[in-house]
Amino acid sequence: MIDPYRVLGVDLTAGDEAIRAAYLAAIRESPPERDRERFESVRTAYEAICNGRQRIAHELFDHSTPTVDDVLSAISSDFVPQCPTERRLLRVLAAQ
Amino acid sequence: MSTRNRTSAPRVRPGAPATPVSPEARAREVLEAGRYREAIELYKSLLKQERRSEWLDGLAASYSGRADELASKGMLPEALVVWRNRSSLCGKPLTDGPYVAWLLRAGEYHAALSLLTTAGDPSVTTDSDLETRLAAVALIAPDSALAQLAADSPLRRHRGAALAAIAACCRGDSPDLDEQLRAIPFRSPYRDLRFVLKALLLVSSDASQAAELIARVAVDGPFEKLAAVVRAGVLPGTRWLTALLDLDEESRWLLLEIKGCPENRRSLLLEVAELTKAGMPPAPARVVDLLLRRSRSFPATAARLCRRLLPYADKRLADYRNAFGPLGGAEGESILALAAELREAPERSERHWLRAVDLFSTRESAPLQAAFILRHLFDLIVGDDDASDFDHECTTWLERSLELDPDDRDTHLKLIRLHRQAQDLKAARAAVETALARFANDPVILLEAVETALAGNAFKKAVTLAKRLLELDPINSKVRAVIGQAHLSHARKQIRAGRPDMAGKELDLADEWLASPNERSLSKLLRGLSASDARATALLQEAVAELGGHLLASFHLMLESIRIGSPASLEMQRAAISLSGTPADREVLAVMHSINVLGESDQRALGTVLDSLRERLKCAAGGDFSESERIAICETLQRRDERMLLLAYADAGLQRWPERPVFVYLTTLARHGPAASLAMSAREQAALQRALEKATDEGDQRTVLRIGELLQPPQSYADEDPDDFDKWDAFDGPGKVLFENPRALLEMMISLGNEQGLIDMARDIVSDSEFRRMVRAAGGDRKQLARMLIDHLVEVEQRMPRGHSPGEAAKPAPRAPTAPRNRAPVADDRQQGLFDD
Repeated sequence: MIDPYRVLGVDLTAGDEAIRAAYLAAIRESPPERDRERFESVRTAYEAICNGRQRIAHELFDHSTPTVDDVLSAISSDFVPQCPTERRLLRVLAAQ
Repeated sequence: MSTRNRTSAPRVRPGAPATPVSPEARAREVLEAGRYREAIELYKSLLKQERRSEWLDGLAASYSGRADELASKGMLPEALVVWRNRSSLCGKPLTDGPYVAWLLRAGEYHAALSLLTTAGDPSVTTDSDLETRLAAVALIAPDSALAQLAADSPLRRHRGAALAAIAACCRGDSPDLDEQLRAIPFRSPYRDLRFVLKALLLVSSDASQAAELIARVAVDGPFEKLAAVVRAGVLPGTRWLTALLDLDEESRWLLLEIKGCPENRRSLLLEVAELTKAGMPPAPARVVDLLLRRSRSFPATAARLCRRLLPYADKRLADYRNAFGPLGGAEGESILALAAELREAPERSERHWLRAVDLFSTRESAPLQAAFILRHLFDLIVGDDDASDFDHECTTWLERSLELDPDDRDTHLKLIRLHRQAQDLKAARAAVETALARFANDPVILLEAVETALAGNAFKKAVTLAKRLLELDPINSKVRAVIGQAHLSHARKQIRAGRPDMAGKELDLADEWLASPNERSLSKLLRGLSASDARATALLQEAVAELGGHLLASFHLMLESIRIGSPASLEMQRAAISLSGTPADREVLAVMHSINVLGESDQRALGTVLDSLRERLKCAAGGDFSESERIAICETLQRRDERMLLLAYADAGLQRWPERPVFVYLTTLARHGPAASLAMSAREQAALQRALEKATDEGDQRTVLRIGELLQPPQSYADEDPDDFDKWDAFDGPGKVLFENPRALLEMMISLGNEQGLIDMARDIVSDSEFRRMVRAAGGDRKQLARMLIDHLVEVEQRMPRGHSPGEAAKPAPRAPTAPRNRAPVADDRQQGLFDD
């Protein structure tokens, strides 16, 4: 399962226009001659959710298997990057 | 460390070489063997005799080896003592080798820093390399340890700025960090810290810039641990997770900390990292398990992923509800339906999908979901198979889906075609009306409407719809041909009704649309058939002449005569067609083309025509056809199940191209039918096997598949034990009579109440169109259908040349097939375009 929402970087509630804009931005960033693999995944993702009907069908019938990216993305979506704590940083130095 | 008592003298080992070995050689030998403690004693003994430099080196090497041994066992204090002995007894510098690293690992910061003083190591004055190596130690060592360094030592002078920079970095205070780092000169032992700390701040916000900064830090510098964290952190996608596993524990926690991973999720991240390292996509059930085990405090995205993977772990539905909250009833049913699909349990899946449809249908906002499920269910259960093999409910799913979601054009088209294929023209017309109400100007829907009107002999309506379609798509040649054919069909209807004037008008209209000379000749032929006066006869003869005057003309004349209900023999006389002589090759090809164009329509009329032309066609079997032409003729005959003609043409092909596997296949098929494996001789089987090997060598996959299928027992026998057939050899008496009399055998199936078995068996043998015709004629009476099938099978058997009848081929007695399916014909590239319009 390559989560199409994640590939396009859009919210679950995104509408057709937002999804199309994200798709166009993604293929501009990764045209096929530069990154074929990424281009293919973006196109597949767009085709899966490009309109309301496709999104319903995807929601109902998609049972593709997950990638590690999917798992990581699902469990880390609420991560807020932080500065290191001084204590931890010095402990790393001490562990030389 | 005292080793005096334990290793006072080298032991004499049993079996040692008898020749005396010098003590020096012995010491070297022991050192090379890695027996360091023994080597130390030997070299010490030697040095007591004389202080030779090579013996000192030997002693130093022995100490070094011993210290390594101890350090590798984690006995760092002991290793350090041995190393110090090496330095004091052999005069080697302390800072050589791993000593500093061991000091740092043992936490002896004071001793480490003392190496920078003359007291710590008299051989060292000011070693900038050593200063750099000890830069990280200087930051974490107590002030007392730093106090032993000279006041002007860079480690002391720049330490304050370095610590302040670390504090600024940990506050995320970028300006202050820059300020503090400016106080660290380029040549300072802390210089790497300038890049490491800045990169550390950028890991999550600007990974590419962080990567650029960290690339300027030498690997194995004093701050390598921190640098390694940055290098792992800037890796894209999941690669940072893999790199996480290569870090030590403190560094892992630091990386997870800067990534923002909450403490209660860190062990999960490490488990996911292990999955990444395995290089395989994680098993869905394993992911569900991982997520459900630590469901607390997960974000909504994790719940969503878990929900999407539940079809792989439907037994965890209750756990999911406990962990992430309730699921809707329809959603639960959808999950169970998908789970059943994954287990290839279509009936169970159907049950759950239908429940989901009921639940979705009650919601106002979810008719689309219900419609989608009904369509999915149709594809799941019927798929590409013939819908008429399934009960009516499957078709109602599509109808219900259109009630819920009438905007799906593809479903409208599918429904129209399904009804038409099932010969349910009333339902097809209703489906067309519904579709047209929604898609009035859709060319594809309009074309289906034309086809449906034609199927119901509503020619005027077909023409009207086709013209509407042409307005939308003026260059659609298919529609133009359809209009021409519709007028021709209508003309036939008028001729049959005895209205030649009306027929003439229709033919005039047809001529406006018909493009090919052949079609125009057909129009002329119909004009000739529409009346019997001299002018009509002249037209008839003119048309016959245009059609070649012999085989092809006879074919069309007989076919059209049957279509308009006129006696073919009379019309043949009127047209003065002579069928004497062997038909020309091109005529045979043209007839085959016409048979292909007919497709599934007018099969009965075609059968009658072929009854009259079979002998003429057989005469032409030895013609000079090219290989591809002959194969194409054979394919046409095979589709028509004209086994006698097929045998003639395939056999002639085999004589001409004995090395071609396809003709071996076609000849065997013609001789024995699809159940050839039960009837062919060992010699034929061997020939077929050779043909299979040759086709495999030539890469002719289609022939390979076809021969493979022919060599296999028919589906109804495939699951049987082949030994069971032995008993048929012993079958004698009344049984023998049954084999000689297929009707008696088949009747016996009815008398035993096994009509269904007979129907199933016949379904595998009788062509689709014929079978459907009989099903309709039987009007739901199964016994009647069985009797009609018996008549048909016996008739086919009698038509076959003796000795090659299907009855023989099917010996022993056929049983009900487990899952009869007619295979779709596979296209042969070599005949592509040969008979195309």
